[in-house]
Amino acid sequence: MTVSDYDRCVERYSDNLYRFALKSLRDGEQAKDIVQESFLRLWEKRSAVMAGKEKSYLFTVAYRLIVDHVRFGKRYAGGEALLERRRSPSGGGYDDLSDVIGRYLDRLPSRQKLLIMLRDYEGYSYREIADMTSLSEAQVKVYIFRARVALKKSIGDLNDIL
Amino acid sequence: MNLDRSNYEQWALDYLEGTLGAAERESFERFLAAHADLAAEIRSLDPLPVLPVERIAYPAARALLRGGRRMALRRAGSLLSGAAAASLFVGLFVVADRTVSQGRERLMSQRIVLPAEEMPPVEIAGASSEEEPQQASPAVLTAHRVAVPVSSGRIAPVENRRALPSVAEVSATSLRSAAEMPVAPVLDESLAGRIEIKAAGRSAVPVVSAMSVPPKAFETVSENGRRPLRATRSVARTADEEQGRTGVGEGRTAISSLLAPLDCIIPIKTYRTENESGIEIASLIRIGNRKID
Repeated sequence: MTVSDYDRCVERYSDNLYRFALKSLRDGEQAKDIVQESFLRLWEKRSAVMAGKEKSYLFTVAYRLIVDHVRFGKRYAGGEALLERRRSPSGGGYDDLSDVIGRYLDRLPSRQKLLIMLRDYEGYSYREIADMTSLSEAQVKVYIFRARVALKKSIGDLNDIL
Repeated sequence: MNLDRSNYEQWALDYLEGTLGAAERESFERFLAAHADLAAEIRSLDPLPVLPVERIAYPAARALLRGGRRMALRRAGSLLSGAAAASLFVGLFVVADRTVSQGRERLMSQRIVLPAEEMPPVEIAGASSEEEPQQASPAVLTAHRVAVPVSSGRIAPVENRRALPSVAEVSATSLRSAAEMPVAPVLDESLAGRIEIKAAGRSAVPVVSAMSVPPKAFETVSENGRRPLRATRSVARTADEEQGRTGVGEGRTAISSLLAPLDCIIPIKTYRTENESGIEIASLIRIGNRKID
């Protein structure tokens, strides 16, 4: 990977990666850290990353960093209290409907939220998501099915309210 | 497939997305028929709810760039600028050289015809006969005088090929003003007999530009005390013969012109080989002790 290839990856994937991290962590500064760390690792491993696999490498790194971050937050920062404080997005830039959906997403377990975002925002197949997350394909389908059921209920409630 | 409440979810999305095979779909529908609550849950997901796409810009993208494209563009710009400047310089040089060459050609084309009685014999040191070219001492110019009886107003070809000596024969001098460097062959003995030095014709450039020849090499002895090599005698091939001049000569002339300024530093000699028709077939430029063809 040349420097130009790397810069091209920054231009193509930095926004999506930031959206993924921001919606997962609901914290703008932490989302930036996740993005920076992901691209730093891509640069360090640029000779090992195959051409055409840069995006999945970035999202794989970001997924694992987010999962570790969430686990760390639960273990060291008072668990649910910290997570409750972090429910409100900061620097996310949500509009009305997006903000509402974001709030309902927050009610999902973190793994379900991460996987449904990889599926709907990034368009990865179940097989690809399984490879990135070290889960089986069946497990990925189960998590996403449950996320859709929960999302349906939330949107259904929203439609009732509106 | 063996469906039950603990494993039906892994096929639910495939059923909703229509990617189940026929047999598997039939089996799943039989399962749903047997479990009404699960069937209601599945039916509620049609159409499948998906997250709406949102565009969120990463605010610090520029800080991640490592300058690859910017640097490449900058380098490409510098390279193009350098190439453009070099091309301009070369173009100007070529234009200037062509202008000088054309001016020289115009000078060369001005032929002065002397009456026969005023035609001095061309004798160079080592030659003793006016009628036949003779062997010259290897230590001196291996050029020979040839007396050309020319009737008034007529230009006659000089060479008598049967009388060619073993060394090169100078058949004529070029027309040059006194201020110009005289044309004289400076040959290696190894080239003797294989190179015929001809002076320029009515529309030609000098055949040989032996720019490194010291002035005294041009000192000749003539019976009437004149300096025959600087004499204004033109014994040239006809215009038809000059038409046969090939691009080899033109290239050599261009290279010789380019290298001329270096002659004060390192000796530069040019040679030309012609066939019997007077067409230049080979050129040789010697820079110092190295040959460049």
